[in-house]
Formats: sequence, C-alpha cells, structure tokens
Amino acid sequence: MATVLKAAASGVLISLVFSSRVATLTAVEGKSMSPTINGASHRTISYAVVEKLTSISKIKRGDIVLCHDPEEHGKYIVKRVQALQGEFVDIDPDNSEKGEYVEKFMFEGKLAVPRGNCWVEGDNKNISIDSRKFGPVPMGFILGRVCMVTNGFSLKLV
Amino acid sequence: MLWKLTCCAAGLVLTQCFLVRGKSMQPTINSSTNYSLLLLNRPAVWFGLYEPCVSDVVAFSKPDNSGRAVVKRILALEGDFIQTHSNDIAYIKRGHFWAEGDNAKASLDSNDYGQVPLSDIIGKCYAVIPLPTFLSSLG
Repeated sequence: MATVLKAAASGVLISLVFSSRVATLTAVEGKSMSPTINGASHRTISYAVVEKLTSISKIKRGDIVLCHDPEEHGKYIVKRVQALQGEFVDIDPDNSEKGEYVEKFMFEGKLAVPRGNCWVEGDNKNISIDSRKFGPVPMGFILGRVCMVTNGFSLKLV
Repeated sequence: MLWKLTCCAAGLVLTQCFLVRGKSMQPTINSSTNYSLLLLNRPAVWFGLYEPCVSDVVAFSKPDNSGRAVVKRILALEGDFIQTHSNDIAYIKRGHFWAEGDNAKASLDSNDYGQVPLSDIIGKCYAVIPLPTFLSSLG
C-alpha cells in the first residue's frame, strides 16, 4: 500500500515537473490561427504540444507561442510572434480597434516594440484578436513555444 | 548553471587587460593624464555568455572602424526609448545599445555616433586599476 502511494506521488511529481518545465499539451479553440491551427472548416478544437525548454530569450519571430491573455486574467492565447524588442511593426493607422498603446509606443510612424515585450498576431488576420488590439505583450507572459499541433488524428509540426 | 559559473570564473582569470586614458568616464575611471588598467571579461563574450545589462561598463570597438576600442557605460538596450543630449528621443533597435560616458561634458559617445551594435562589445569591465604616474609615458 505504501509503495503504491509512493509510486503514485512520484508519478504526480514527475508529471507536474515535466508539464511545467519540459512540455505540455493544451487544447486550442477558435479560428484565429487558421490555417495553421483549426484550419479545416469543421474543426473547432485542436491539441497543441507546447515545449517549455527554449528560454524566453531564444523565442524568435515566427514562433507560435502559448501565453497568458493580456486582456483576461486566467485565460491563455496561442499566437505567432511577429516582432521582438527593438523591432518595428507596421500598424494600420486608421485601425479603429487599436488601444492606448499606440500613443505610447509610436516612433517615426511605426510601432516600436519596447524592451521585454513582443508583438503577437494570429495567422487569420481578419478575426484574430491580438497585439493589434491589446498592444505589445511582455515576454514574461509567454509560457512556451508550440512545436506540434494535431490535425485530426495526425500531428503536424508548426 | 555550473558550466556558466566555470566559464565566467575562467574568464575572470584569463581576462585581457586594457590600458585606458581619457576623461570621458570620470569619476569611474580617473585617468585623464595617467593610464589605468581595465580588467575585462572577454571569454564571457567569446562563449556567448555575456548578457548585457543597463549600467554595465563595457569596452567596444570604436564605430569609426579605426580598430581602436572605447570604454563607456550601457545606458539603454534594444527596445528602450532614451532621451539624447540634443533632447531627441531615440529608440534603440534590435541588436544595439546606447553608450554614454559618465563624464557627460567630455565624452564622445552614442550622442555623437548613435546606437552601437551589441556585437561590437569586447567585454564587460569589472575592475579598474589606476597606474602610477611614471608609467604614463607608455604608448
């Protein structure tokens, strides 16, 4: 009985450490990342393998990341990194959805991503709510990098 | 972590010494007439372990391609906004930093030649040793 409990406890511990430090699985809903994630018209949910081994400073442009939702505490979003600190983003000047970040970070007609932040956008630009609405996202919000996504019953690399 | 510590400890032992003279870093480096010896951690840069921080004193290649090196303090890193001496706002681009000498009046720095690439950094200065006057006839 004691050995079973010990084995169960160590199993729980190992899986907790693994899912917080190595890799985890997460459900991704919505079409903001289609066609990369949930691209098929009938698909509403996919599962993404989020690897947590790459350090925050190694996240590059083009990586898909899982991060905290800057607008809603407790929720998470999956988006693609488009610009890192020190880079510029061309934003639509008459985009009615943009928030107060625009005045703070505009520099010479373009949006300048401040230090410690990144700019994320969904692949489906029409329906994605992303940095174009809530501004640059702090790098500390990033939980991990999405490396694989289910596509029906198969896995595809992203 | 241990590997990083070993490399940086080796760096502290194998650093290259720089002879510097000039007023731009007073009072940190007080060597307007006498030379000072600067101890730099070069291996940290060679192994890619140097993480630049604001207010580090670093030696970097002079931006005019003369092959010389200058020693200044990092005031801003990529992504920062900084107010220059001419009261403009500068945005530090990715891969660059803003260098300023501690002696603002007598310093030729980023206010004159703009942002400096991070790849130009030779090493972080961690010690300054003032040299006696009789050695100032060197060089």
